[in-house]
Amino acid sequence: MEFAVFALVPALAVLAAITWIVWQLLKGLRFLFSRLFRGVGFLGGRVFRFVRSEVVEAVQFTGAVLTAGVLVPLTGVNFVIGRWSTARHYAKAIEDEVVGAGLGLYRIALANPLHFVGLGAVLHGLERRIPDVVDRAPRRPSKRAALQFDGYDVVGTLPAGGSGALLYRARPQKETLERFERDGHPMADEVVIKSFALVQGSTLPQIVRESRALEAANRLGLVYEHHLEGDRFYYVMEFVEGDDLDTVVQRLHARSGPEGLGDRELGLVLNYTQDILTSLDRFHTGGLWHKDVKPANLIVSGDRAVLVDFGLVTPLASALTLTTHGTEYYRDPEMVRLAMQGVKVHEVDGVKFDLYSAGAVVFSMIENSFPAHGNLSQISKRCPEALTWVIRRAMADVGSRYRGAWEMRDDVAAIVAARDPFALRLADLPSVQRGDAATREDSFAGSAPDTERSANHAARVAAGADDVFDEPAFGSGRRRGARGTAACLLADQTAPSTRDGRRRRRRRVIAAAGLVFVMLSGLAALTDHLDRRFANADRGAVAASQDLRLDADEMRAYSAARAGVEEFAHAAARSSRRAEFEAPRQPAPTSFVAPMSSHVDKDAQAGLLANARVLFLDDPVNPPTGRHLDKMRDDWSESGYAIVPTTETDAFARARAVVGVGNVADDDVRARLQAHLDRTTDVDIIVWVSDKAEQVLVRSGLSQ
Amino acid sequence: MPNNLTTRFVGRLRAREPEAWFELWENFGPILRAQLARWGRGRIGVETVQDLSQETLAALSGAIDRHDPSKGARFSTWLLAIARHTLGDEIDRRMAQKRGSGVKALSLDDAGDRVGQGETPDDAYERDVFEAKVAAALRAAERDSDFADFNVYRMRVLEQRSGKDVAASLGTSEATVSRRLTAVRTRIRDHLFTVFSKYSFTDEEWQELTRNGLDLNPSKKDEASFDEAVGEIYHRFSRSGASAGPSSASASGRLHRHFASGESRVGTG
Repeated sequence: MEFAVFALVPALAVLAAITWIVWQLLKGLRFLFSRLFRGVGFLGGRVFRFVRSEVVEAVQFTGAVLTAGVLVPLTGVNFVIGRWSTARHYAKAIEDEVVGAGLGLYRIALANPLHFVGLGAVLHGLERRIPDVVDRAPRRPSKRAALQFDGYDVVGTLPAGGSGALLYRARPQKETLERFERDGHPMADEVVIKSFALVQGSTLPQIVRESRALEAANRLGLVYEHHLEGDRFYYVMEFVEGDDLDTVVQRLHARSGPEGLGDRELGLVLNYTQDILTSLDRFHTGGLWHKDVKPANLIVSGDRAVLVDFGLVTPLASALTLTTHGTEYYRDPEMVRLAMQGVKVHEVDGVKFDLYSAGAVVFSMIENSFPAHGNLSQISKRCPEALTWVIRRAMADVGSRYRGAWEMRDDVAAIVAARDPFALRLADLPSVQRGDAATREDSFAGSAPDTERSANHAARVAAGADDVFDEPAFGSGRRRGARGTAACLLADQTAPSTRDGRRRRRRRVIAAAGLVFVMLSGLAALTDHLDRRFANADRGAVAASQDLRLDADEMRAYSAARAGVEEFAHAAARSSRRAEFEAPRQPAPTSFVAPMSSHVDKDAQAGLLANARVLFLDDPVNPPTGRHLDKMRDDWSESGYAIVPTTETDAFARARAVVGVGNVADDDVRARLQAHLDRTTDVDIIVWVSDKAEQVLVRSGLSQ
Repeated sequence: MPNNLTTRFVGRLRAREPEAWFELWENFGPILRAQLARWGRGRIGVETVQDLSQETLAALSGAIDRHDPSKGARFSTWLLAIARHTLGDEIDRRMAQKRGSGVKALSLDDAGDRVGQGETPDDAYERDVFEAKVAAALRAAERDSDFADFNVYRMRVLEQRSGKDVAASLGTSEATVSRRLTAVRTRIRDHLFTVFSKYSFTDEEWQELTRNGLDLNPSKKDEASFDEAVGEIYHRFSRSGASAGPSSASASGRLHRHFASGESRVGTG
């Protein structure tokens, strides 16, 4: 027996080992086959897509050739019989077909095979860079264009921008040069003429916008002269010989390698940055907002960068409505948000938006790419930490941004002046030294309790923080949105130690005042809450004592409500921001709850009967303010509804009993209330209002 | 399941509230553009991609009334479906306009070309959406934080520098750096909750948070792993770049015109 046991154990062990090995082998084989099948599937899919692409391209190529073949005789016939415009039309169609066929051939012969073998990137140069270079090449003007402008000889054209204008290079004639001299303009061998003409595809809004920008640019002497005649408008400005910043930056990076700019190239970039900021400072001091700072609008001439294109230049004090014009990625998204609110130009701080663009331009010089994710864009290439900070600060939230181009330029100048820009500490930047208190150890903003910080934040947002700091008088509309760090930057000219001492004392006083305020607010809120709770309980008691013919279900709900009041009071006392934060992690399904700010839905109203009786029910958990409730009652009353007075305790108390301590967002309670409404005869609509939302319940069948 | 924040946000979209649409555009616009560019790779240009993504949102604005978040579909999935149809329509229109011009009939399944081994196009898209949500929370936390506080977090967590290094650079102590980190981390968690509440209609989408190491209510010892997860997601997200380059006639401008009382504004502002 013992022998059998001894023999059985090793046998079982061997069996288990063999099973385990087989199992592992099977697993390995399964893994191998799955990889193999996946690989084959991947390869098969790739081959299939390649073959399909080739076939489709070949069919399309054939179609294009056939179509061109049909169009050729049509063109010839029309040419022979003298129908020139028709012949031109057909010739244009042939051109399209030939281009299409050529592209098809290119894909069949080159693009598809290269993509198939994974070398699609080889074509980037052909497909993207070459068209771009060709597009930028200077062109000879047509004879017609050369005769267009009195006093100028047109010598070439420049690539058109997004404004719908045509750009010409021109030489001023002798009498024009004399006029320039008389008017005090610098003498120029060549100028740029920006021309808008309805016949050339410009639109009236573009012309109007440009002429307004021109008025602004004129103030800075950026425009030599302008003409408005018939259906066209043009103006003359300095011609800056050179390449745009995009092209120059690409060249700098090509010279430096994949790690980022070398020391010499970085020095150039810092110089360009200073030029940009000096130009912007000039604009801002003159009360203007450039609004379209981007690499394509910066020409590098010699070793200086010149800001050109005044198509969007806007007076900072303009009373016009803010628009979203600008260039994506170089334009602050906040500006788009404000434009969508319909604010006026003078109500925003245009200077800050130019600074955002300047930061984005510096980013693009360092990274050789645009900031695809705004201020969250990663700086991965070689860059001094201090310059990274400058970029971040320029692209930060409006309130934390530099106050002006001068301040940003000061920081850049410090980097330029540093013996080793990479060794420069952030703490050594002028803006940080000047009093960016938030970076100092003794002024830790984040140490305040969450509630206090939230309250401060809310208050700042609500107030628009217009008065947080007093900016230098560059122009109107520049005081908006200043808050946070910008406020700290107001630091005066006193010695740092005295300043720190004062700041500490001030902060203590503010903290103490804040604490007292929070305590008083809490006390007031508690008193208010208890008042409301007892009032609700009293109302319930009245309803109960007056025997309001509540049915059995309603009585049960009412009892539950009374019991729930106490529970709610305890829960409310315990609730905190963290509790709210955690609670919805298993979110309960809710029906649509209209935002508090929204007015009564007119479309919904249209479907309801006029003179319907509306009962307003204030939420017992989160009651609205009396003012808001009155306003809603007035709105509904003006729309022709009969408001059921709350003094009609019967209807009110029944509804209140059904609701209990339920929340507006609670589906079950809503369903209960709807069922009650469907049964009742004295109310048609119940508007259930809380401090954040409102719920409109309509008696079934009423809207039909 | 949709919660109050979700329904309120959808309500704002339904009410054609420009701010809500802008928010949606800011958070999902780049993904839509990237997705459209992938599908239309080599066949449609940057401007068209911008046009298409604008049209997608316009289509969405028309269809939002029919969307019921409580039906269990992901909002992102639904958005993608509209993008597909919009692109399909655009290609059909082009084919009709210019038959044989070399514009290729588009197979949307080609999106599989860009995804990595073992990852389906749907997975890649959902990952992009998840990362965009985290990025939205980071953006909101940045707006909500002091500049220096957020940059301490950026240097320490997103750029993975040591606390000592950050403190030396800012001329402050490591304890201060640590306190600032805690403050920003709390805000990021708050905003993660808000963002996921708005854009997550299913429990599965909520679970993505925990699955990716972003527990919203972790213990003290989990803070390091939370930071690590945020850093990792940020790196993936920021490497993704943008598929459509800068454009002066931007889609958000057109979005603005679409929602700004129906009329385009004229003015230099």
